Amino acid sequence: MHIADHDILTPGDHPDVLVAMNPAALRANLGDVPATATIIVDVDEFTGRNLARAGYTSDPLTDGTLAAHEVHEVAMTSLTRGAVAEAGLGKKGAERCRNMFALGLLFFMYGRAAELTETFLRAKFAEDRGVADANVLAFRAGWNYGETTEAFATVRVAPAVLPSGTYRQITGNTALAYGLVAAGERAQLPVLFGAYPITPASDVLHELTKHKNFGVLTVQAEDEIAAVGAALGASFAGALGITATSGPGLALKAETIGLGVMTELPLVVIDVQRGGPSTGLPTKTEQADLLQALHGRNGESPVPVVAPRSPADCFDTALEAARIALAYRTPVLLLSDGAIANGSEPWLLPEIEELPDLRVAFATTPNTPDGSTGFWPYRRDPETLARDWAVPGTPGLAHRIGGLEKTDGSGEISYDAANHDHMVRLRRRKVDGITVPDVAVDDPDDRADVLVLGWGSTYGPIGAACRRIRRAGGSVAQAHLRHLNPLPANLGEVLARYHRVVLPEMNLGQLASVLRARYLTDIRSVTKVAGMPFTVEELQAAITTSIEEIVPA
Amino acid sequence: MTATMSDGIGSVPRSTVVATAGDYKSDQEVRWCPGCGDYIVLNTVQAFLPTLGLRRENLVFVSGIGCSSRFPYYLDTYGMHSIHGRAPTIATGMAVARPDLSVWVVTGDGDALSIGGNHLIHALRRNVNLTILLFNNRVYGLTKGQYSPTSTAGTITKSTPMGSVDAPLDPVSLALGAEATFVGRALDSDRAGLTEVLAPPPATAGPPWSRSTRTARSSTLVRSTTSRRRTPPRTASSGCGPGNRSGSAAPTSSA
Repeated sequence: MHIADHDILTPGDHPDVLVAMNPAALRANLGDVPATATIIVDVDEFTGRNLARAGYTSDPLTDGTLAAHEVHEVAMTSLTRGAVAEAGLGKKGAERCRNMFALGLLFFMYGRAAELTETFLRAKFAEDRGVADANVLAFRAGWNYGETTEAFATVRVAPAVLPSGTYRQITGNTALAYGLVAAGERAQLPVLFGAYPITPASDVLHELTKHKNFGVLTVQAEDEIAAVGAALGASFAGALGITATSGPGLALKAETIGLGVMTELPLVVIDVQRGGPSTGLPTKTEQADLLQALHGRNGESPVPVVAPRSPADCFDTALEAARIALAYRTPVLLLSDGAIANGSEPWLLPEIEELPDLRVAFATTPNTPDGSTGFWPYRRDPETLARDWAVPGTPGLAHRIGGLEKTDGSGEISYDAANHDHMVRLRRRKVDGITVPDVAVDDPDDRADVLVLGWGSTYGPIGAACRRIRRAGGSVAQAHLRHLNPLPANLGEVLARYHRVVLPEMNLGQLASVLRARYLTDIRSVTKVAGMPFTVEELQAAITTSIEEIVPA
Repeated sequence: MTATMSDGIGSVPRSTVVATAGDYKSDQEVRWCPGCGDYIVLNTVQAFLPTLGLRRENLVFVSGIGCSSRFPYYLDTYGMHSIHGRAPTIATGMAVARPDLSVWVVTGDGDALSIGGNHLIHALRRNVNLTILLFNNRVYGLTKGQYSPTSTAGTITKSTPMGSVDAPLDPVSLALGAEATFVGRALDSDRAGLTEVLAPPPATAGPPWSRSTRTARSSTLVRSTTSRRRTPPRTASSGCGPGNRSGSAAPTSSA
């Protein structure tokens, strides 16, 4: 939990308070806690037996282990038991309310309003009055304990100044799901979402199953291949086909994505990245599927790639992926990751009519050059190079497409050498020509020598690190890429403007190698593949080093 | 879009004009090996489709990879020649998104039973509106004659010069095991029998929920799995030559 009077970019590097409900919890979490942190323990649980089970040979409360910390020994179990006695729960039930006692105490310390939480508890345990009462009583007892003992330092966090509107807390996976629902609404197309359960992407499927009323159909397929196959089939049939997975699943979907490239059909493929290779670290985060997304198919198989930078940004990025897929008739890869998927942040609810218009015009009349009858599936919009899209059920436009190479225009199967060369270059040109906004650079004093570039979930720690450097008097510029293919048209110029470009990634430098090849620009990679996001401290140090090499401190 | 999955072709719009077999022929030159049973299957299907009385633009044929999978190119309907073994997955998406479509999968023994075996099982048990035509010639023809999952043990091919050792898979047993709602089997050369298994069962067959869906009829199964089974060839050494036409088209239909 991170509380601030401004917009929050990361969950924070280290906690300021650790509440240890027993010796095992203390032992497991003490390593994450800096010396400045306050430690609150439930002293009732620090019995000889519990200490031994946690692997302590002496009592850490008395042996000096916690000497550096401000430690509060609170008899939480017995205080809670007493506080909730009137609710009539048994001993065990009463003791289960200890967590609410601790929460109440923290609410007192940080001056948080109690009403919403009490309302939440009443609603949560609405079917059992006794349990609801006990939880509220324990919560209040914790608050009152803090207030009456006067032993705890209190911190007041002022309200943040943010654009007005209705906010809600949202995780990345929920925001993705909402974005996909909104894309269907704005395209006025049914959405077919095919998926096979996989950590950490399954919550997108879970959320979308609730939205049939918005024309969202979900298929839990027999495997990853079937999931993307169903999505592509639905797109052929005139729906917006979408699938979501994680790295291992993306590998399995590669051949079907290639079919989508060849048949030039809209398809959104979401990869909520996790640690790899192989099964890897399913519950940990990583950004190491970028090159798989860009290149992981047979043949020259270009696909647009986009990446959200935060949980709430997943909503807009999902809409953007759908826009590109529909407007250009192409598979689009969206790279989220475990940190974004399960992380949450406040999200300002958008007005639906202010979201981009994603409607497409299906072909309804013959489009052959002589204008008589029939349909040429590979006849294109001269500007976007998107092919005409006729859906089954349209009389007179029946046509066959598939994975074999096509004659441009007519779509006839062709093994002609010159045609293949033309088509390979054309498919590339179509993706290269996708309109994407310029990358914005945040360079407040306009005299930074170092640009920190990022993509995806590193936005939070990079942004927080830049803030700290600037607060300390340093100059640093920050830019973040949503579009990884095609790259923004101004990126080469932006990279050339700075003495040094630092690029933190949770992989071994995948985007850095893409940019070096593309722009012949040196990029300083900062890499981490520990299954955890960068901490702000890590990036602050890395960026500061780069700055000081150029401008000695 | 409000139809339920068990509506079968009842949810597909009907044509007001009478179509002919010629209406279902595309302008593509048919290119299978001379004497291949696929020609007869194609002609039979083209002659059969008009009898359904459906709007031609509401038919979609999806195929995978292999000789049989050229089929969609030869029919003047919507179609997709997809990837090896995956046609049932693509067809599933079409059928779920569009209950007003009559979606057909055309596949072979390698496509459906080897690389796409898992998809076939799940398409059958999931029971969305699909009709699957499996052309079983017991050999990989397109890749020049390797043994397939339905080749009998001992089949001598380029990849099994001493005879294959694997026991063959029986597509009808597999379809029944996956509880397909209708399973039929016929020979390519038996046009009448092939037409019969292509046709939906009478609307009166079965309980109300299966009206206009294809419901398994035991007589069809018994007949198709016993009296119509041919003696398999010993070898399949040269792809799909006329002398190696074991091609029993075994439509396994799930609707």
